[in-house]
Amino acid sequence: MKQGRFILLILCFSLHVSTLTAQGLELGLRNQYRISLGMELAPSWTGLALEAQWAFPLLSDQYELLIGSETGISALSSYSTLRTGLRWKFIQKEKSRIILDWNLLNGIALFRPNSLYEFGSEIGIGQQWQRAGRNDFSYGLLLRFSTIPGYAEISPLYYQTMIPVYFRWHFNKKAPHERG
Amino acid sequence: MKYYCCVLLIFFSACSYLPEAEFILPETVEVDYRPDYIHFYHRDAAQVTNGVALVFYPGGLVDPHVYRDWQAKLVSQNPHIQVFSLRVAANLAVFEANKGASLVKKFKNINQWYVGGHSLGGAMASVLVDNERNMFAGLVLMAAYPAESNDLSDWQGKVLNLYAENDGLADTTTIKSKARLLPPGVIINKQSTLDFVAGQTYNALIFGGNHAQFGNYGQQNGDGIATVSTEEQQEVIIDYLEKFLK
Repeated sequence: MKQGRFILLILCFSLHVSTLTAQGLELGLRNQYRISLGMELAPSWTGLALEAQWAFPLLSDQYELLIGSETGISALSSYSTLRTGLRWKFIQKEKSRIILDWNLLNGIALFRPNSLYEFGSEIGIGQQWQRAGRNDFSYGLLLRFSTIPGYAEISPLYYQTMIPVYFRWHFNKKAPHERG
Repeated sequence: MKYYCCVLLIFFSACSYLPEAEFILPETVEVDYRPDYIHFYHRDAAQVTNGVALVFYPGGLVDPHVYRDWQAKLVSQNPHIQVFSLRVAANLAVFEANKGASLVKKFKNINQWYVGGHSLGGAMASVLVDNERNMFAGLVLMAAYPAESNDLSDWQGKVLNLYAENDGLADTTTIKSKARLLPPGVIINKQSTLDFVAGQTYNALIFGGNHAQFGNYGQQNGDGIATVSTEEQQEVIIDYLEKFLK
């Protein structure tokens, strides 16, 4: 039940955030590949994840604050996590941007009878396409490290490195002059 | 559409069972924790010439460590037996049904290979046996049965079919109704002293046992109430495996 309450909390938090002054909502799907478990390299497919995040303009057009949540499957378990991060749009052209995302992760690995705290960080590069009259679309590659300290009591393999490949749809708010 | 949404929701929010009891590794057993499996072997395994290995698939949404108690004990009492407990994506063996085959190719020094699993893991072990009909000498099913698409009735290996009296998830009626998918069967009990021969299924009912006590993860939703302890049920499992894995 604790897990259920946590997921509900994440959803409520997400809905609340959406009412704030976000630049836009981003929904994505991740295909995740395990690089290592513990210290050992062991590449393999490890699962999928769904994500939702809001991007808030920060200081200038070049930076955004990212707040969101994610649920999916890693090499050790299913998980739900909150994400907070920064985006740097370091190359901006007419129809596309190259973006660098960095996130901190705080969440739970979903186990019974009790879920375990999981945290980590990820960094990655992507390309965002601006499409006239349609929602923006982006794709990219991340390098992610996460650990479940409580799992160390069960196995020495309690931390992992993954490469998530993501596809995101951006539902940006329109500027006042675009609303007509 | 609603159905797919429900499946997706379960898929992403499913919780896996963790081992319940504290684990004490027997002194004579070594454990090698690897990303794809947990390997239990006896300290004297290198001196054994007739080595036998059991590749084991965990039940659905069950962490593979929940089986470590009986697996370590089995190995401690039988230096010729090694156990490879598979770690599978999302703790759902359905995603990696053929994973066990890679171990057979990797460990060339093992004389004879067996494959088995608990619940969904048993069904996936049956998939592997169906795909690789000459790879394994035997199949161990614990509260499990093959899917209709994996008819093993003409398979030439031997099968140990363990099921529990108070299993609320794979009840005895269901297990018996799926017997037609396995080689011809006989019923055995703890006192049986027969040799296990190929092309035969050996059905063993564990009196008082339930579904979850094939591992150590507490009470499972929908399961029956066991009238024997986890230790007692697993002693029976070890007893049958010692005779079967020869």
